[in-house]
Amino acid sequence: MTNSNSGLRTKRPRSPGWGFIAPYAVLLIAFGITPALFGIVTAFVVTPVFGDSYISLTENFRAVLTDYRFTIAAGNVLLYLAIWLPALIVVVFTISLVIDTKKTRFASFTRFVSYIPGAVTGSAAALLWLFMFSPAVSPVGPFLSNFTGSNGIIVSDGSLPIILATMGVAAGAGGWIVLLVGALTAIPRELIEAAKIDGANVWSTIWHVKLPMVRNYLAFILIVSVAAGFQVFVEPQVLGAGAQGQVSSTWSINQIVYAYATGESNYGRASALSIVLLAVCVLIAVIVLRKTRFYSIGDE
Amino acid sequence: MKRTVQLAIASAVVLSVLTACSTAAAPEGTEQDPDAPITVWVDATRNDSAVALAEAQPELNATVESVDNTQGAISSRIALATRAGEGVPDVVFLSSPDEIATLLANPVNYPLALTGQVDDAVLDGFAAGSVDRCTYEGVAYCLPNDIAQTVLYYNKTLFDQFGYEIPTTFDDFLALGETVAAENPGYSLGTINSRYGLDALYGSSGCQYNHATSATEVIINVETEACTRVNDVVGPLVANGTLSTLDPFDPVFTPIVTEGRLLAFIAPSWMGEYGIKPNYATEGDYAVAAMPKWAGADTNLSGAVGGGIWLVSATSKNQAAAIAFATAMATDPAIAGAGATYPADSASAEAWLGTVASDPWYAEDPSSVLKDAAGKVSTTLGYVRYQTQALDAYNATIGSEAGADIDAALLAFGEQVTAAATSAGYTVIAQ
Repeated sequence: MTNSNSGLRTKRPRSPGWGFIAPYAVLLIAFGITPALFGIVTAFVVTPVFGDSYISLTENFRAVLTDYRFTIAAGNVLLYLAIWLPALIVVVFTISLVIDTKKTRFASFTRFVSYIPGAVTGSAAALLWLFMFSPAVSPVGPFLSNFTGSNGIIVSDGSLPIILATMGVAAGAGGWIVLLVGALTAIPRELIEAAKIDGANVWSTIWHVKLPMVRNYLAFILIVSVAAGFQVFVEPQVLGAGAQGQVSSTWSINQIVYAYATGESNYGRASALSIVLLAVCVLIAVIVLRKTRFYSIGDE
Repeated sequence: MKRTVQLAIASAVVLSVLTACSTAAAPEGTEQDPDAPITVWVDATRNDSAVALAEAQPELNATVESVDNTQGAISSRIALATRAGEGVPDVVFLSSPDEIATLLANPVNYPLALTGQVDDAVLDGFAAGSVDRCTYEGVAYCLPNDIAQTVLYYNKTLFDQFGYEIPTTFDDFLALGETVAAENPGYSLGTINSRYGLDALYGSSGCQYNHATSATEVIINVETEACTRVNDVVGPLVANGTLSTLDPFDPVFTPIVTEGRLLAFIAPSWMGEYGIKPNYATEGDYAVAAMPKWAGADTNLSGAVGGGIWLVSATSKNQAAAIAFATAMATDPAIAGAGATYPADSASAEAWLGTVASDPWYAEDPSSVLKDAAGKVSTTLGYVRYQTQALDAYNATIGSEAGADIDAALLAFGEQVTAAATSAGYTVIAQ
């Protein structure tokens, strides 16, 4: 960010860095930037049911933001994030602290075990969880029977935020624990010892030393999770297909995008809503980055 | 600064490529070539008979592809193929017939107008009203494959054992449900999940939620007696558990069928062959009775759940072969009469009923009931572009209320479905 930094950078030979990012850059342009630009163009093309298409700056955006499904889906996703994000951060931070504090030979085993559920992702994970949440076939069926609706099953529009949050923590926590344990291990021992000498007990060490030192990592977890959570798609889609008629096909915002693009063949509206979603995620990322000074890590 | 310029140039290049892509129009493929090969998309159920037809008539030069037929999947694939300008099928089978409404509109404009292209005798041979559902401004765009007219499936053995009468009105049906809940809890009168409730019950009563009068106009009014009288039956029976809100193929519901606790089920005419029989093989138990009559209705109309249709592509290079293929699939008694579904074509239906009549699985010959119901599907049921949203709205309101406040749920359903129709480009008339 500072002048001295950029001055330093220009003196270094550039080629190795470019070499490393080139393969990624190609994929980013082909599957990230180009579709996004295409989407931006398409978002302004209005295709009426009959008659010629025309350009309008606002019509698609107005149509998608006033769609009755948008409010419902936004509420669903926000509720899901409100349950999932705090749970994820608490679980990740707690387990990481325990692993970091109690450096027994079980530490690596615990880390491995917590990482395992993350190995099954996407639609496969959703299918697995569909069975987990079906009282008739679930290994924890008798326990689940306390939570079934009057129709005898658990998966429904209303229960989905909690189900997705459970899936999200189980599948997502492991990877972040590995990251955070690394970050906690990197905290200089002298710092912890100094705190102890100053009379800090375990809790104040955690609260006043460890937490501030890994705050940026938690922020990073938060950004990535918010972006992923806002775009939740596969899980409600698969759970909905498994429990026919119990989950709206437009439960999440991204599913509305999918419905516009496929069932309704309305690419203009699909693009418009995608862009709204992109803008929200970018905005959240910027706010969190600013507040946590994520890129100022070297200055501290 | 230099980087900004580079970025600007790169963006300009990308944008110009994109613009070129998006304006590349699909070729006007109406120029006919009698030797051109045709591609046929069918669902897995009809794959074998379509392949057999393609082999039996090599002069049609047809390639059959089995495609995913979940709601919306085929229309979105055709939309993508149309946009790409290649790979558009010449003939397609829709097991969710409402998708024709989407395919008929922008940006796909898929189906060929069949009136005048197909012999009038062929069109006249279909069950009353079945072609009308895909007729827009006097022009037919589909060949109906099967009628999914609803009837009352019931377990005759259990009815005799418990001493129950077959309900002929929905007041009887409600009374039956209350008796069953009191005397034989655990026995089921079927489900009202999704289209099995909306299109079978509300549809048969003439409740207007997808009553399309043209491609751009639809009548929606859920405050009429035609809708509220369904609530009066569905509400109490869902509340007492005799009607389920699960899909009939849900793993939690199928044990009811396999264990012989499905006492009765108002279901489409394919439910016996496709839904009950595979899960309950015992012969001589199930029979089919006429649809009960709604209180105040003139006659006992049927709802419809599914009912496949055949479409031919307007951009096909060999429309003659495509039409010949679709016609054979829909009207050849050896093909249409041999499937799991009740054929829309009357001659094929006779062949189909002949097989069913002698099937020992049925306790009684169901043919006269099925035949009568085939011509009595409520004309208020239309093919609309918002069918998926209508089903979602139904499940989220009436379906999830579990009978608690079903009247408020019906009003909420009406609001959502009206919004969905407006969003899909319909002018909504509240008659």
